Amino acid sequence: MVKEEKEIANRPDNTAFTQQRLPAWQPMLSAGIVIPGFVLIGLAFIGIGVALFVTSRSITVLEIDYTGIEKDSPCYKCSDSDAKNCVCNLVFSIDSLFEGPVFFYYGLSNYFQNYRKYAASRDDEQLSGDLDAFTAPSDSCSPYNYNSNDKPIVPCGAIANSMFNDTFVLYRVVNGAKQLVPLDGKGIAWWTDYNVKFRNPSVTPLKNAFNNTVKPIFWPKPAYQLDTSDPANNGFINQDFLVWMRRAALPDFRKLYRRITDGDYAKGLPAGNYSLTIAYNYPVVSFDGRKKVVFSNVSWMGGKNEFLGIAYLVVGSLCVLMSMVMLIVYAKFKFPEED
Amino acid sequence: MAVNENADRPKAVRLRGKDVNAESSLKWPELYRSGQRQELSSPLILISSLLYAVYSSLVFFFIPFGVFHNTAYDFQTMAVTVAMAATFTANVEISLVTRYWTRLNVAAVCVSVVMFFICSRITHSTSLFKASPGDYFFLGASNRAFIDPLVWLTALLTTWTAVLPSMTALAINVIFNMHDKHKVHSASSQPVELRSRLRRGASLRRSSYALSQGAGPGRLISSGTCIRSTVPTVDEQVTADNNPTDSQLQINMKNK
Repeated sequence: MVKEEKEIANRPDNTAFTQQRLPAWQPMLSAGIVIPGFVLIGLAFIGIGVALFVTSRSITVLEIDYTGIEKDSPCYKCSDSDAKNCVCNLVFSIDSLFEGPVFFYYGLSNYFQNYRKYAASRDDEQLSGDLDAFTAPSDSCSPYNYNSNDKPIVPCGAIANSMFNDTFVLYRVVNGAKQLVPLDGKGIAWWTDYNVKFRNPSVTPLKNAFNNTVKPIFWPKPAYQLDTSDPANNGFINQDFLVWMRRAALPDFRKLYRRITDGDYAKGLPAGNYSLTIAYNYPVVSFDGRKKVVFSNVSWMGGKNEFLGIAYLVVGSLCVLMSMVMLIVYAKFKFPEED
Repeated sequence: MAVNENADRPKAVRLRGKDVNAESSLKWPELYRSGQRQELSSPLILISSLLYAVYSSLVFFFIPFGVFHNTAYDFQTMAVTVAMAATFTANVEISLVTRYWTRLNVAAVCVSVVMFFICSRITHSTSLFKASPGDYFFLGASNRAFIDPLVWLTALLTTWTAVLPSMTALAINVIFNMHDKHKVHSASSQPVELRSRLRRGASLRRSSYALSQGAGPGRLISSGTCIRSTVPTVDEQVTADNNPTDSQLQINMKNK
């Protein structure tokens, strides 16, 4: 009586959802679907792999290591840690037209920008122009938040402190004379970094915002003097600073330095001899790091990337192979049954 | 995370699987044989799940590592790539396990993938960044990553490689078991004569499930009365002479 009513009250509703009567599709897999499926996917992957490999092959890359560890390297004299304001000259030649637009990267290896403590060592509030954070940098920046005299460092943190400061000037050697190759440094950083993420404090002149603060210990000049000729490239929105602050994924990485797109070099770098003058300031020898310059052109898939093409080819071939094996196994398995 | 996803697979099966009515249960006892034999939680299954999780973790890292090594791509783009691959892999794994594709199942998979993209765009947006720059520092990462063909191709390759062992196991399963034996639920359920050969209390060889649902001792088991330790405490020993303990009651009923 009462118990029955309780049981009826607890009974689930008689709808299609609660009684599991929903219309459903049940895939009926058979060997005739699975094996051709594997073959199709394998062939698709092989196709993508071939396209990627061919595209990657058509990209030209020129890498020159200039760390200066070897005695016969032009920058050997600069690799000494005591050398200050050292300048070295790299000479190289190009056999055929290096098609443009040519991208000029600097590369570092054995440099762990993805190390957790290093990666957390920044103050995003400071970098978005918050003046309160100028006087009191966040603790995540320590020990690069205050200097030995307890003055706040702006911009604080290890990432900002370790900013790459080698500079490069490229010349083309024509009949013994050096012609300057114009390098374009506009728009090398992300649009969102330049326009949203990093903001200069809204104080004019910019120098006044940095009163009672000091520059990072490793920097030669403070942030408001990063590019005195162009106020749109000064302070926190300096393009080289933004490129550096965008942390690299892996210990061997490249960062865009300049593009070669102007004037005579719009179609690319013509064949000939070139001379690269490097102001060697950044020390990497102490941690077995290497520095290099990289010239590259780009395609729809970015820079040269042979790994992806080869990986697709390998996985595609593996799938096709597996489907062959499964076909043989299926054939052998099926025929004894029919006998 | 891979271990978590693999642990969710039995859960997913329970949520997506279809229940079976009494007639069908009697007709196809092989449906619950795997539970009786503890096939789904044996050490072999656990170890193979663990190995599979380790394999997928290695795949999720090393394929993007190989692609982004010595390139100008940054940490956040690589993070978005790995997240994309992980989302796709989880959804593919669940799809492989799903046997009954109702509209809800299709919607769940689609919503899962779409929500990943929507939530990424939201957490990488300008408004959230301006509200809290220290927390939402992935600003702009998905803008560039979601339109980059390299990111998509890497995610696709990583997904397929991570899912490959499951796919192979499924393929081998399909090839070795003729699929017409598996037309379990497509046949219309005809009324089956409920002839149970087991008389109540006739033999001790009943499955624990049947025992727990039966009358008499079943009520005790379902209500959890027997979960208390049968070792009498000091207090209980005093009253033991007066009242029979639960275990004694159970043994009495079994021996009827």
